[in-house]
Amino acid sequence: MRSNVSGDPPLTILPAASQRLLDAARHVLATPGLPPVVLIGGLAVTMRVGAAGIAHRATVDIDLVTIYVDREPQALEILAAAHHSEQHPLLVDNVKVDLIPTSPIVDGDLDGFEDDDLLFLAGHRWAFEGAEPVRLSTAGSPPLKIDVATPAGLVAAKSHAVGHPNSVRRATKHGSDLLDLFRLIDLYNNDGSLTQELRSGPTELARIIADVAEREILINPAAAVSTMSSASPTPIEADRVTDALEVFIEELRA
Amino acid sequence: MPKLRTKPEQRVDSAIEELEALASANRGVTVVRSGPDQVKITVGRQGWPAKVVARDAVSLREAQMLVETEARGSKIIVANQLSAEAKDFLALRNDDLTNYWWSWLDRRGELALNHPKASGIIHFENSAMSHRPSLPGGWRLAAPRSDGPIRGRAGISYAAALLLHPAAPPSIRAIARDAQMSHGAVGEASKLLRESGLVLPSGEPQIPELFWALAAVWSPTRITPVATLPTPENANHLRAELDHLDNPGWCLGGDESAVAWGAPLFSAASRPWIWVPQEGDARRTERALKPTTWDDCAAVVAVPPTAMVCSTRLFAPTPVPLPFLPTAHPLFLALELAQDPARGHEILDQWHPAQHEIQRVW
Repeated sequence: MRSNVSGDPPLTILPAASQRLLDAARHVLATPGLPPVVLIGGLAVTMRVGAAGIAHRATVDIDLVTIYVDREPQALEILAAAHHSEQHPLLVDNVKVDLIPTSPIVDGDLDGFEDDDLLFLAGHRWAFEGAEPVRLSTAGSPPLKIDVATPAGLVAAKSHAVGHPNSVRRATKHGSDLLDLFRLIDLYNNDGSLTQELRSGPTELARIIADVAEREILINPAAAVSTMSSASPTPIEADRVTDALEVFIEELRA
Repeated sequence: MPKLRTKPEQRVDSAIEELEALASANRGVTVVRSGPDQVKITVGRQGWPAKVVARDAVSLREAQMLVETEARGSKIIVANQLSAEAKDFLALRNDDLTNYWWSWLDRRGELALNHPKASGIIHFENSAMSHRPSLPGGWRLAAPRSDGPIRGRAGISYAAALLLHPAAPPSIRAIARDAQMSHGAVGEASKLLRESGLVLPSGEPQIPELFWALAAVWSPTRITPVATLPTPENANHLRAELDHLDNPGWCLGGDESAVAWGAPLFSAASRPWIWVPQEGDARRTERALKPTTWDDCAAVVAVPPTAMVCSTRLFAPTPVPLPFLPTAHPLFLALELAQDPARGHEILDQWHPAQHEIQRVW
């Protein structure tokens, strides 16, 4: 459920059972010296998809993008030290936290990179830079203000997981990665705003995402739907997937 | 693994499940189990009891032999195929009988229900027998399995019973009673599981292998999205059995129930998933709560693959969306999560129920 009071970031009320997750996120953000972080991953997708009224599930992990700080302790080291945790896995209040450091990208930085690396570097940095603040709360608890990647930023980050997974990820998480990508496209590209935002991103980003979406979903939608259905709390119609993806890819390549 | 043969009791159980499933999809026709090999068939307002005879194939010779050797009374033959000559012979034989007739289910696509006072023929695509009508996106409803170590409702019920009580396996008689199955069918299910190594010689389950074998065949027999949420009043009216948890009645499944038992998952916008004991309960509930599309649904009404889901209900330690309803036992909530090989398996890896009465078998 979302509400908005003038001047405040939108408020998302989480189920009462999410209190542990919210407390962990609160402790992460309160860590002294922590550089800026942005929420991405399944939790962010579930918030975005759930806000549109579609049932979705995520594991209780916190996936963050942050900045690479030259010659300073990195976010991972700061969190591990403050919360008395190993760095791998990094646990805060017994909740697993994953961090992806990013650096600013200027023209020419990514020349010569393959699509795989280019999408990872540019996609995550773009998701970081475009994030918007959200207030999270469970009923009765004070809200937590956190930066969350926009639907377009999540599509950019998730496209890498969908298009370039290692063999273990493809064998285990490909269904939920495909489902995340489809839900975001289906819910947030009704008016073309998602593709418009992606086309305004770094050079080649829109083209690479279109290639991933075509290769992983549109070339064989029956297989993609079958794979993503296993991760979905509700059935998915193949025609709906095909329709949404055809428009999405066409608009990205326009 | 050697190929496992189907025993006669199991073939009859599977046949009855097929008949019930096929009839449930057709208005004006019902088939309900009334004994180990007996059903009550109803066409319109006319109902009659019939014995179920399960065969692989029925030729003219086999049909003649059945007519000669079977006792008086209505019969329904369930077979992968009946020859045209066999059907003609049975139809001619029916013309000579005044009190009972022969019916048949030819799995290739014909259900013929015959009685001196009522009859009906239903033609269907033969794929309807290998799978119940499929839902969008590759979701499938349960169909009786004729291979593998866990077959049909008896196999599922036996495996579930062992996983509910892994340290003190209940007797076959107790399981048959709880699952509303024949003693023989459950006994055969137990033999198959022992032969496959999923049950130890001591009778205890091989954990977690049995859980994952059960997860591989786990799916509802009926799922319907509905437009409205039940209230305590209409739930009781619809036989939710809220005051008698030992009786089969409604219970909640789904992500929110798993969360209430401590499963580490984050769920948004999920709809309550309501298990009801049988197809008849589902039909009544759907009428009351109004079937709708998945996009517009307020809840989901489903029938589990074993009646045990609705007879082992518990109230969750933390609130659920419809707090007047108990939840399914965490074993069954875990079986639902196991259907999701990505996040579901990851969630199960991290889920260690804190309640001492809940055994972690995954």
